Amino acid sequence: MNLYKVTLRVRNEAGVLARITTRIRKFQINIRSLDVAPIDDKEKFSDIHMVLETEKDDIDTIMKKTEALIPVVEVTYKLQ
Amino acid sequence: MTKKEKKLGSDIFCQALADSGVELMFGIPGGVVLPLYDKINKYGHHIKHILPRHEQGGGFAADGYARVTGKVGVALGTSGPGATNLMTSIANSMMDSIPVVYITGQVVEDFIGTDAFQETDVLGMTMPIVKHSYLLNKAKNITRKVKEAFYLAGTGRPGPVHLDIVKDVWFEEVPYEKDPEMILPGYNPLPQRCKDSDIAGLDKLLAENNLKPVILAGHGIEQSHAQKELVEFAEHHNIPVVNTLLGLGNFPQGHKLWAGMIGMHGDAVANYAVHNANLIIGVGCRFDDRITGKLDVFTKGTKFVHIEIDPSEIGKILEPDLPLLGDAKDILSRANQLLSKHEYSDWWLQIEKWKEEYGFLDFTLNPENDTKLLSQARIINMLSEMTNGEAIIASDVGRHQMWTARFYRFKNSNSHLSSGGLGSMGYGMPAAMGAKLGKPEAEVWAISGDGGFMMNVQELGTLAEYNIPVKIAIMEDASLGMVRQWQNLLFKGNLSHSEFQNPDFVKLADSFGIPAWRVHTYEEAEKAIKAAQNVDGPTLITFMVDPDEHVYPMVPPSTPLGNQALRDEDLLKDKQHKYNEDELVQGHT
Repeated sequence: MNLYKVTLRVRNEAGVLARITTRIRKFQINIRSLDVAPIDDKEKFSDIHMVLETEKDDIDTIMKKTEALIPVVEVTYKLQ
Repeated sequence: MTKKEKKLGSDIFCQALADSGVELMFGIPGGVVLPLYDKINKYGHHIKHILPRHEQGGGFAADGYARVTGKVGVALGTSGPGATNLMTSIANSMMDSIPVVYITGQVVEDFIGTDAFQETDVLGMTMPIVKHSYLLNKAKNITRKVKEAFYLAGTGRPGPVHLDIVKDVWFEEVPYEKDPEMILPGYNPLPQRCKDSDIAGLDKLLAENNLKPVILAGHGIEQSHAQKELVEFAEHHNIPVVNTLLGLGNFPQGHKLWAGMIGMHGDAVANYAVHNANLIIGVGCRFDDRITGKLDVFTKGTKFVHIEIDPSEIGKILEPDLPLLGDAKDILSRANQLLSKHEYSDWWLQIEKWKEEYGFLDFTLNPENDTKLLSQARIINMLSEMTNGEAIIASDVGRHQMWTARFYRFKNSNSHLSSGGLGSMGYGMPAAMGAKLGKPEAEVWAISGDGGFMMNVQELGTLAEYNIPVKIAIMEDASLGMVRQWQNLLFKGNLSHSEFQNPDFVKLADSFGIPAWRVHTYEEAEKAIKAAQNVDGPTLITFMVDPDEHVYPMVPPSTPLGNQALRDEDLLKDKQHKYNEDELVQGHT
């Protein structure tokens, strides 16, 4: 099991966190930590930082499936 | 600048649907959508509204409509139960990537969260089974969100989009804004186009010695309209083409390069070809477990090329040696320009041998039954011949679905409708209803088992009321047939809860004013099919079929494709078809 540090650039709107955690929950993996904060004055976008606990083989698919969510603009992740 | 005229939210919503090109919708009114229904007839010259008898029937009909027309389907339910009844059809559209906009009503905003009458957190429920969803709680956002919903549903990898609309919106008065700007910064329907140099990588793969290539053509071919390019590509390199269940019809079935459908109940030739191939070119497919069989055997010693529009599908099941991200039509047409020709004569000798040995496309391959009951395989073959392979066929889910896939010779693309991913019984007849409304000029048949038919039997009322000429064929055996087959073969014949009592389907149809026939012999079958074809309206034929006719080939779950059983004995006695029984029973479906 590895820990991955994940950053998601998302549209700042109601429900976006639920969409992301719902998608991650589908893969039955644990979110170790999570924080969300707007990145611009107009609060149009937020960055979500997470630490995910998962296998090396799964992380790419989980991140691609998360990036496929419409309000997710950008995804970066690396092994912690 | 003149001040824009204000309009009611309900008017704006109807106008936005019309602006999005909606010509047909299925919906059932209820409390929170009544203000919308008060207006909808005013837009009747744009939008035809059909009242199904159950929201699930309406959802499946919208899905069937979308599959045959390529347009975005629309289904509506009110808040609470109306919305939850749509859930199965939303999941179905998601699994098969079908563009449908699902609309649900929601209680007034002040009541949200109070467990008000007919309140459900429907957005929360649909979240995992939609491409995207919206809460519409401000009339000023109607036109933008509706436009975005239709755009999202129909572009890229298509899928269902859900609009949940709070009741207040219908009464708000705001200026009507036609063609608003969409705000979708995170959405790119055509992800970075793969380079010519990537496509040229195929040349090296195709030039390898002793190559045994197979093209696995999925539903993405239809969705990207790449049928012509696929034929060109296959002919250019002389590679056999096998189809997934949803890909059937996208490659001409009389073509010498066609090798059938693969999968758990695929053609023997297709399964052996894929099992023995050392290069698989998957186009617009997602390597579902029903196709791969035991995955480590499927991938062992085989190279993969995956042509796919959805980046999140590449590498999900297997890591391709050459991933080609993009639109199938674009990639195949560039490949046809770029690549040199190839021949695989030894491989073809082997495939021809299999075609001969396993009676390719021959329905009599199925074990002869000495009972007086009809063979579903033969009936479906008869339907195929009597409709010249040109009908649109919506099958339900089960054994007849597999026989339809194998023995109906589809001449046209987008003419085979099946709940492939979700495998939802009850799909066939409502989907056929949507298909017929979408393509009135086509002959449309719903082929269904009696179990699945009963799950949405209420739509007979819709067919009768609107006189929608869907021809229904029920395979009547008073059994959940596929369950029965598994119980016969894998659970020592313990037919636990898979047998049931049917109504008299002829009398049932008669009560709706639908002409119907019960058929016991092949002569009667031919007469009944002819008679049904001559009726300008819905009809029903119930074929009294053998409950113990098993679908073969059968690849037992979690076993390799090459271990397919071709007859009962293979599964019950033959030692070479060993599989781990514990593994089967423990959650491998």
